[in-house]
Amino acid sequence: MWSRVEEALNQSATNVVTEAAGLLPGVIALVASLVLAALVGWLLAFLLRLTLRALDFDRRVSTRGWSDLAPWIGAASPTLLLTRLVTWGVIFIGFLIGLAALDPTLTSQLANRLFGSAINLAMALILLVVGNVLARFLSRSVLISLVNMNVRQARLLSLGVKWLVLILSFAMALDYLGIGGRIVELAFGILFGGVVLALALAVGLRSKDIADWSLSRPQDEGQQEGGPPPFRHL
Amino acid sequence: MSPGPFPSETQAQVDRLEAADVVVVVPRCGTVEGLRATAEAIRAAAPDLRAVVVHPNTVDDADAVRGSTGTTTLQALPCRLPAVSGLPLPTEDARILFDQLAAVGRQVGAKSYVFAGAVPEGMSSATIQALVHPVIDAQFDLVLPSYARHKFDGLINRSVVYPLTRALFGKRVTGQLGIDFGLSTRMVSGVFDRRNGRGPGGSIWLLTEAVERNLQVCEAHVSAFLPPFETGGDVSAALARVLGSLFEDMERHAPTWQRVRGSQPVRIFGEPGAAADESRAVDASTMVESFQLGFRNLQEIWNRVLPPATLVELGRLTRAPLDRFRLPDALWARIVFDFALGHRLRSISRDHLLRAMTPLYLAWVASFVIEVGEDDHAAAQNRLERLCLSYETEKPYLIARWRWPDRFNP
Repeated sequence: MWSRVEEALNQSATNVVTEAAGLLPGVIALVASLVLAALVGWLLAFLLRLTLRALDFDRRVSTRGWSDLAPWIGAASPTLLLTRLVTWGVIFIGFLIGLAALDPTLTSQLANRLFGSAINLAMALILLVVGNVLARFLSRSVLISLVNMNVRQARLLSLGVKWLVLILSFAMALDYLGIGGRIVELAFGILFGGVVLALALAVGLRSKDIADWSLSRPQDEGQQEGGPPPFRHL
Repeated sequence: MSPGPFPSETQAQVDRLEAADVVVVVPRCGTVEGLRATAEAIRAAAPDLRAVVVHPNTVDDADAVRGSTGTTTLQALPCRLPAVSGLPLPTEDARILFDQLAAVGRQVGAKSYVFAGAVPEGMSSATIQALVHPVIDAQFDLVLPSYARHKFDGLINRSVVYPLTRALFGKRVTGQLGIDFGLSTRMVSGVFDRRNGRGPGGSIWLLTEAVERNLQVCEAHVSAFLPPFETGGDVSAALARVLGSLFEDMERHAPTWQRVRGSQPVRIFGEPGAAADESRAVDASTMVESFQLGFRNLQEIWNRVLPPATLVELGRLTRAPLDRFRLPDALWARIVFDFALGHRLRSISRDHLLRAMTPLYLAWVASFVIEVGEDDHAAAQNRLERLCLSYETEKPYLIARWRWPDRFNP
């Protein structure tokens, strides 16, 4: 019996070693592909960075609203964002090549899954980015308008508008991806309703400022009670 | 279809016009009584003057205008005019208006054009004469109005438009936002010269167009009827509209104003009217509160446009007691210059930028009101003269920031 046990162990060890030996070239090819892709990606990013700096790319893009997008994208500058995209793009291609060397069927399976969900993922990302930009734009519009109307709760109300739009865009993105299902719907409803209730309370309980402005305040700044407006701005 | 600026039936009327010296456009003259009053004012101003009166086609009574008294001949031309409420002129409306003026002027051989935007009840023969005489007799190309207004009227003009255009283009002209002006043939044809390459959008500032083309500019004292007080008006929207077009104009004419140094007075025609000097009850505290609220809430916008030194000074100002609330002239000039630069660089949405300037403008108004509240008209004018000189003194700051926006950080 012990000889049979020894024989079975030898057989299984040989199988494992043979399998591993069979995989080893593929693994080494994968690692080599990743290393090579990283080197190529670094080189391309370096050349791209030199080119964009020569073209003063950051200054040109910064005049087109980059400052609104930057905090949400997490890159300090447009040049840095592009070079990072190029580097990781090349590394990802190297990963696919290495994966094909490891097992040719793996890449086709991965590609099928990726492309199947790529469009949904891209749309969800677009929804998030657009929602973020829209939220910041609307909140700034509300803030400026309310400050010019002398509403003291201007900042609170503008924050409320911002989070309303952010929650809406996030919920739409998750719904598009099919993540969460009814849990996301319920959570969105609760959050959205909560924010609206908070805004309503803020406006209702502290409405004296708004009522003063709309009913009893002079129609022009600087007007005294009961007197004619003292200015013509134009 | 008529190839000109008029529909075919109006073009036929234009073709029948006889020779005239001046084309008078009265866009608000939409009644028969108004037309008669306009005709009487023209006859009283210059009995020898041959004029074509272009008025809205809501009334078509040539007898109200036509007639001869002595050697005066007046002709009427009803047509569809663009809705122009004052300077600056929206570009597309100005293009239509100037095309119409040029077409009529070519037909009748006119030497002068008058745009009398005041309602006819307030139009006087002195106004017509003040706008026509400098062009026909003194060979000026552009006549801008000088209204005798109360010291608290036209505050956007007093705080920004006049001192800024004076510092930029070197002409001391106060009537930039008026509704009455006189033009020569060169001015009418030059603004939309094909070489100009002016695209759609934006507005036309007549003074900058004249300076750009080295045309002669003057002012005329005009006692025009002014609209009633703006009730419930949105000062933020008015500020955004006027300053937005002014800053765009600055960008378009940057090579011109960067070469100009100092300023010179322009010739003024006519007799100055008596400025309204009645005492007005003023409460500056609400405007100071608006400024303080703006400082607390709009820092994230202001610090994209204003340098740290300016923000520190504004912070100090928010703590000043009401009777010592003073916005220094040099600081205000630099704030205006910084917003003009921010408008050019599009650091944020232009509409947001201009509306965010409202609390700063109200701070200037409050400071001005507190300082000159008890002064007479002459003392208030002296105060504004000091403001204009500050704009001129700070102009190198604007030029440096305009040329090197990334490198100049005071």
